[in-house]
Amino acid sequence: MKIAWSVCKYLFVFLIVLISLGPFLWMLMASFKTNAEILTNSLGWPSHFRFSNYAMAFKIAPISRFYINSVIVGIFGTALNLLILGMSAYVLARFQFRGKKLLMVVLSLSLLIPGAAMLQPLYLTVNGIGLQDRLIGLIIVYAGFGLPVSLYILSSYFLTIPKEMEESAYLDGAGFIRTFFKIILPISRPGFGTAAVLQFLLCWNEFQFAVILTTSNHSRTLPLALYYFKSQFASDYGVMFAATMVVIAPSILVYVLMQRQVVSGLAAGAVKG
Amino acid sequence: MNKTFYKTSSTIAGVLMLLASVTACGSNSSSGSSAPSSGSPSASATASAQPSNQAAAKAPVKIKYLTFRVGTHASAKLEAEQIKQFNEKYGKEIEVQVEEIPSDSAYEDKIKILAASGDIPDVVMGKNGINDILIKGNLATPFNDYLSQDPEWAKEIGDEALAANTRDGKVWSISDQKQTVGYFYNKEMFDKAGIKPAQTWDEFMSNNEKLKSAGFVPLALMTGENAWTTNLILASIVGTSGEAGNKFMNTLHPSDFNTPEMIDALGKVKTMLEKYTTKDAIGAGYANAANNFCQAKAAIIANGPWMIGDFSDTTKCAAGFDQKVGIAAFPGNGMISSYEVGYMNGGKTQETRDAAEKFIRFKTGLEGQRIALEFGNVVPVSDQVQPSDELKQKYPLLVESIQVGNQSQVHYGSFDSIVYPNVSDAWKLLYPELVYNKSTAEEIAKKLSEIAAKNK
Amino acid sequence: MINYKGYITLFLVPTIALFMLVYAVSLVILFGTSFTEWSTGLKPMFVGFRNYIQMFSDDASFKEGFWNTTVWVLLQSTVHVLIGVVFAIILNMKEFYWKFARTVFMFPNIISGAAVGMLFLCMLNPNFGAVNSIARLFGHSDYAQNWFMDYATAFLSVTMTWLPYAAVVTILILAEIAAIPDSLFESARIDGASELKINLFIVIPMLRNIIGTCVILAGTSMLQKMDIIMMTTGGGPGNTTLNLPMYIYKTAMMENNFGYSNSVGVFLIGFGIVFVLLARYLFRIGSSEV
Repeated sequence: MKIAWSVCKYLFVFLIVLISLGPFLWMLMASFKTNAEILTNSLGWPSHFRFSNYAMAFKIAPISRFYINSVIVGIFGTALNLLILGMSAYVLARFQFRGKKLLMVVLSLSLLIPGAAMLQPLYLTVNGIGLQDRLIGLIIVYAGFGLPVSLYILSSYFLTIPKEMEESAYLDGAGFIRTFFKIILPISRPGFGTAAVLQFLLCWNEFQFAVILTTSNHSRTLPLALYYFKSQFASDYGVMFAATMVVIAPSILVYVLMQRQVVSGLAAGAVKG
Repeated sequence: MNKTFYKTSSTIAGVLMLLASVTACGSNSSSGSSAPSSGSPSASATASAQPSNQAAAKAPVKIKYLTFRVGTHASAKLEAEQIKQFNEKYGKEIEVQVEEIPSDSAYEDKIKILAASGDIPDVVMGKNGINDILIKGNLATPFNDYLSQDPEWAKEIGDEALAANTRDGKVWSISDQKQTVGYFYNKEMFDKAGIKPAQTWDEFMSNNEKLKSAGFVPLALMTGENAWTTNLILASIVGTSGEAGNKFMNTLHPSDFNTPEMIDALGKVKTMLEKYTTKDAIGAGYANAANNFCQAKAAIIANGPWMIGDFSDTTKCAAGFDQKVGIAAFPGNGMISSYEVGYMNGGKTQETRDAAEKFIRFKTGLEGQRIALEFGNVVPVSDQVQPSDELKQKYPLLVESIQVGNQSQVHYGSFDSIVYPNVSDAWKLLYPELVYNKSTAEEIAKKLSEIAAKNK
Repeated sequence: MINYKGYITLFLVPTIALFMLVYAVSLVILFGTSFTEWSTGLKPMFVGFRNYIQMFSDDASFKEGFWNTTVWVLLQSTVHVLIGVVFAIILNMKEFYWKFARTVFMFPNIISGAAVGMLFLCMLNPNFGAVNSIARLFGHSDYAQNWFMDYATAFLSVTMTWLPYAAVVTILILAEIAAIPDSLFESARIDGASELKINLFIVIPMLRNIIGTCVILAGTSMLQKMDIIMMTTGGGPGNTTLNLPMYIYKTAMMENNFGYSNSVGVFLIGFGIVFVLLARYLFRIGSSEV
């Protein structure tokens, strides 16, 4: 029984690692291959490790410019989203008030609106308030796109925090806002960490709205760079995968850093009784 | 505990301040982009080619232009060169604000969103049904007045090209290139199989069989994306099948696909997909088919002359591959010969309309056509533009392709140039149905008619 | 207790403002124009319920798309979540590989959908793809399964590009497990409970809220899924892998039929609300008593 369980467990872990790492390694290989090599023999090693794909990626698409923009959009889009949603998720998780259920359902709608139906209305809205082709426009829109996910994650996390935590703070004479920032935020780091990872990835990878809402290279983000290598009659997969590697590297870094946040929640969790 | 509080709150305050500064920076950088159109609307549509002093004194007219010809797009080089030369010549009076849209489909999506919001740019490429939307919504200006004021330009484009984009007497767009498409073949493989380019479709099929028994895969086909290389053959079978079929392939927006020619052609293509192509043809993209041909894994690919440059590109084909490639017209001496939709004028004021016209005139006039030919192997719409000696030496196949085009007798459009965009989008779903025997050729033809009818 | 009403409002206002800004206009236009005939560049024309009637009576593609969407929502909210939960629990045992596995599992989620699509398209290519190449190594020298286009495998192949990649569920669950007081584990261990029992009877019940959240997030993500399908099969062969988001996109952008597309959008939202309410009810989301 115990052995069977162990075998199953390791097999499962092995499979998960295989299907996760396999495509990634394949892409890493492909980023060193010529187009012809990718389209002929996708398994083997590249004939030699050519960095020309990486050089080409930077040459053909304005990657460095887009990089800066993506970093700004990623950081502020995430910060804005977490701040706003942290506040409302806390209230929605903790307090009973009239219209709460209705509000929750209405906010849940944001999870369900098809992207294609939002393209034109959002274009009109963003133009209407004069934020087209501005990073701040993308930051606000992405903060909005992450609304439902962050709301669900954070409110579900707040529910795990025992009420006594705040009650004792109030007894100590702390006010509402102070309690939120001083007591609740620090022990919710695991929740915020996960929400931050997802929100950052959203800001980092979104393509369709970035095309519609920006017009100049001053305010465009990295996902657009990938499409410089994929046109109808001339796709260069080698360069595209090289560019993809360049694009995902910081995401991996952010994730690894954020994981520390998630882990350090362990200590905070011990505080709770 | 107090420390954490201050730390947290100061972090948040810092974030807010940074956020505010980003907002401020953003507003500074994007100011002053839309200068109000001052002065009287100029009617100098046929202003001389030299920038006049008067125009130089004024602030340049700004026009917006979106292009998908960027990055690795086959026409990226010619686009950059055209814009560069236009700026050298007219930069003082007209400022072209170029917006790069990587990928063709993102371009189409964005133009549609802009059209729905009444916000289309001044110069629009009308490809893949965009022209229909702009015409229906009355969002573009026809070129009739401009053309009658400048007969020289009209001559440079040619009557045929103008007629191709005329509806009810109005010239809605100016074509920038002619598509003359036959097929490329691997001469070595043809020699080994002992065959020559076929004169009839029966011979074409028996050639396929001979290639196959000589150990080669005959056709580089693909049914993914818009099924481009496969559909060129389908169009040619229909287009060379006689009067009715040829008329069908020269009709804009055909609504009834349930014709004997279409059904017969679908049957033939089904056989080709089943027996005479690579294993990955069903669902493959253009890149796969092109690579199969370039890597000598297939003997024939139907495609336009813009592919010629690839044959001597060693990252795509083996060195010396360009020597092995021949070009031929389709059986029945047929060739796809259609004019691209080209550019439309979406300017909203007289001033921007005039400026947009000037930009389009440059791109489609002799200079623009020459740049397109030299930098992108694009077949010009006018006979007046001939390849330079340098180009002829570099790409002898290009000369050959122009000759083959001139000798061909039966002409017709490609499917992409005649059908609605939603039909173009449906091939990739329908070919697998046909090949895996889920639907017969008749049923596919019927479905195509239904899809065409869904168009709004 | 003190009166918190002012604070509650204060804390809710930014979210409501964000919602209004990003979604309200879309929602109003979506509902409004679903009763119109509206093609790109023209003015909408009121046609009553005609779009809805057509949708339910005479639209085979809609039905296929709806069926596929439903299957994917069900798979994603069950199998996908289960994989994520099980993996999280295994990782939480903190054996030697746990940090490595946790990081690696996230990789496919980090890559943007379009790139994932391209990647799988290359890996599953019948001719040169990695999967078929491996199969050929094991003796099937002529193996050329067309994974994405063969009717027998298309749906499965597309599903496998997202179903096993449950890293988001895993990190959510891990974060939640981290919040369970260690004292609970210790007392259970002292009582002699096995790891399996601790997980089944102590950990999982405490995860009810977050699992419910995962079910909602994973299920509804299938109401938005489009990029990978577009890159790999385009909805084909036939309509085998068509889903409603894809159908909405095609109807709007290829057929220029915004009115009809928005009716399907309204239907999709309705479907989503039913799903969300059901999940909230089943998992009693929102109540904090364990």
